[in-house]
Amino acid sequence: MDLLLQGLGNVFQPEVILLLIGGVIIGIIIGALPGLTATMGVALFLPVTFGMDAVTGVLLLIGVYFGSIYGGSIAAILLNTPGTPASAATALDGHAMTKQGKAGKALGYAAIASGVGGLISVLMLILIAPQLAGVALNFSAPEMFGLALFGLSIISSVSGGSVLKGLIAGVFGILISTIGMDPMTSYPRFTYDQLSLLNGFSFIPVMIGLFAVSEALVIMEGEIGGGDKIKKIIANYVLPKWNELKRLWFSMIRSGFIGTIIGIIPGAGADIAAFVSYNEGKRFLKKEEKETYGKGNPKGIVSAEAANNGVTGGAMIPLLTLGIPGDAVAAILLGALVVQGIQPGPQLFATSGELVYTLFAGMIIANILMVIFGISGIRLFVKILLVPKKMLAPLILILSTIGAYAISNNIFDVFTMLVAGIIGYFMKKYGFPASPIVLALILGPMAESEFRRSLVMSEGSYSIFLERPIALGFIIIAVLSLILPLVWGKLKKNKKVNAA
Amino acid sequence: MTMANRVIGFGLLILSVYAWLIANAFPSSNGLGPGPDYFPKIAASALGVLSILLIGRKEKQDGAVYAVSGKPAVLLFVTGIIVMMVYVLFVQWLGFTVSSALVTLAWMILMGIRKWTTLIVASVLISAGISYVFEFLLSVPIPHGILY
Repeated sequence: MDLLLQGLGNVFQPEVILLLIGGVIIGIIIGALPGLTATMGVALFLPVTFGMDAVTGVLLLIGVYFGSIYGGSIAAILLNTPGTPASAATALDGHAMTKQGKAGKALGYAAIASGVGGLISVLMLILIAPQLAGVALNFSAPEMFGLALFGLSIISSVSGGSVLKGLIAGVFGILISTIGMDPMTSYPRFTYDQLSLLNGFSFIPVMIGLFAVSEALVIMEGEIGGGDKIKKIIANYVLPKWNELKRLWFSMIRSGFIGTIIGIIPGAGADIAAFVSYNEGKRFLKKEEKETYGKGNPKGIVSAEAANNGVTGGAMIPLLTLGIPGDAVAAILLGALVVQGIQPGPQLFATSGELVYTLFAGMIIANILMVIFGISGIRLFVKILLVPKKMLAPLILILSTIGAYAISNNIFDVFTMLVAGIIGYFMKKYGFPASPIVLALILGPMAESEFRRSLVMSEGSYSIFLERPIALGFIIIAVLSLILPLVWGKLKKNKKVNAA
Repeated sequence: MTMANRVIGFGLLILSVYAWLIANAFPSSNGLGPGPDYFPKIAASALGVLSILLIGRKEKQDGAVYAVSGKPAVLLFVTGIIVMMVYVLFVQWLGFTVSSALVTLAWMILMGIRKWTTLIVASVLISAGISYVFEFLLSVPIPHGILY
């Protein structure tokens, strides 16, 4: 508790709180723009933090992250065009309310539910993370290998769309991660005598390319192909009343918990959480309410929004306690911490307790700020939807370029970003998820070095993975998470054939 | 999409075979357990198997893959990609601010903006604004070349 109060004191330093406010507002703006995701926003703002101290920089990114997840609901509610994939479920009831002339109420519900979901997830983070870190302190090489394998397998199999394409992206990422010096013997692999390849590919330029440059290309393609006409926004901005909110608290709290739990699972992001919670929300409704679900029911909005913001704190749990990023945004935050010389993992709680609790305090404040600005700035944020995409595309490209360059003042990183951007564009077009590549670049080297370190420990005997229950447990779950989606898909297909 | 899957799968299969052959030349053991060749070979083998599965996969595509259609539009888009590549290749020689203004101008023209005042004001403001914020306010280095 003392550490948390100390953290709150650190957050209320003028410089920190101003940057947190700036981060939340920028995040809402990025999230509100259709097509621009939270991942892209955080990746673009990573270089901005290089000149800052660790806490300030990471809190700025957290502000952008939290704000953009909420911001996605603005376009979803007003235009029926989800600003981010996470707000697709919000559009179902949110846009229906706009058509009924209740846009202000819908946006108000979304802002408050986002804040409640986010706060629940941060509280869960504060409760769970130190305990989990305590357990993880006892992990050694076999457990860490099991954990990395578990992360890799689940990320590839649940990251959306086709399981096969997710796996291909993950394995492709692992192959790329082997470029550079071997972690145990420093033997150069796939380097072709190029000095710049000796350290392998840094995941940040790859990530900026895959998420931001590819999006700039998609926007350019869309604009050349005719572009979307900006719809006229007709809305009234009467906010929800207190007695209207009273009957939504239970839905918000339940959805916040659902989002947090889904956020903890590597690879399962805010979009999955929003849809799971949205469907769960329906189960709890009375019969007469079920008929209005999907047609402008406030419970639909709060179920989706509390869950997608609930993911934010959940995703931080494996990142801070185990050093394993649960999703692409967590991977960027990992990068931000590493650039500042801080290695997330169980040791972090023992060595940098004040920093960790300042981050926790900052997350609480970021959620409160999100509600304040989300409600008070509704009329202003609506104007963001009118920003011409023809200017947005080059803006993303040049921000990406400076971002890739600033990591180590190295033009090779900019070339890496360019290639990743072009690959990412075609991956989007042909349904390959990008997150597994980025996460494989982080988890692949970890899996390899911990695997080989384990074998050194056991003097070459593979039975070490069977003798350690936690390591074995992770390996079994990893194998199951690879096999089950394939078996499940096959069963569903057979069922369909039999039914036909 | 089935055809695209086959082409991508075939390309990945070639890549996996190539990676496996290169990795096969790496030392195989450092005494205890596997050597530097182990993980690349495992990854290449897995990629090979998954590529074969992709080649054999039938997939229906809902709607068109690309938003651009027709030769002039495709040409504009390809030009946009080439402009981006030239920008990235020359940014360190020309300098970030000037080359960013040029790429912004080129992309906006390709996307159909024809008003010169908009083109010039937007491209100068975007590139100069970003350069100023990053270099002077945030102390983040930007590449400087012969034209700043």
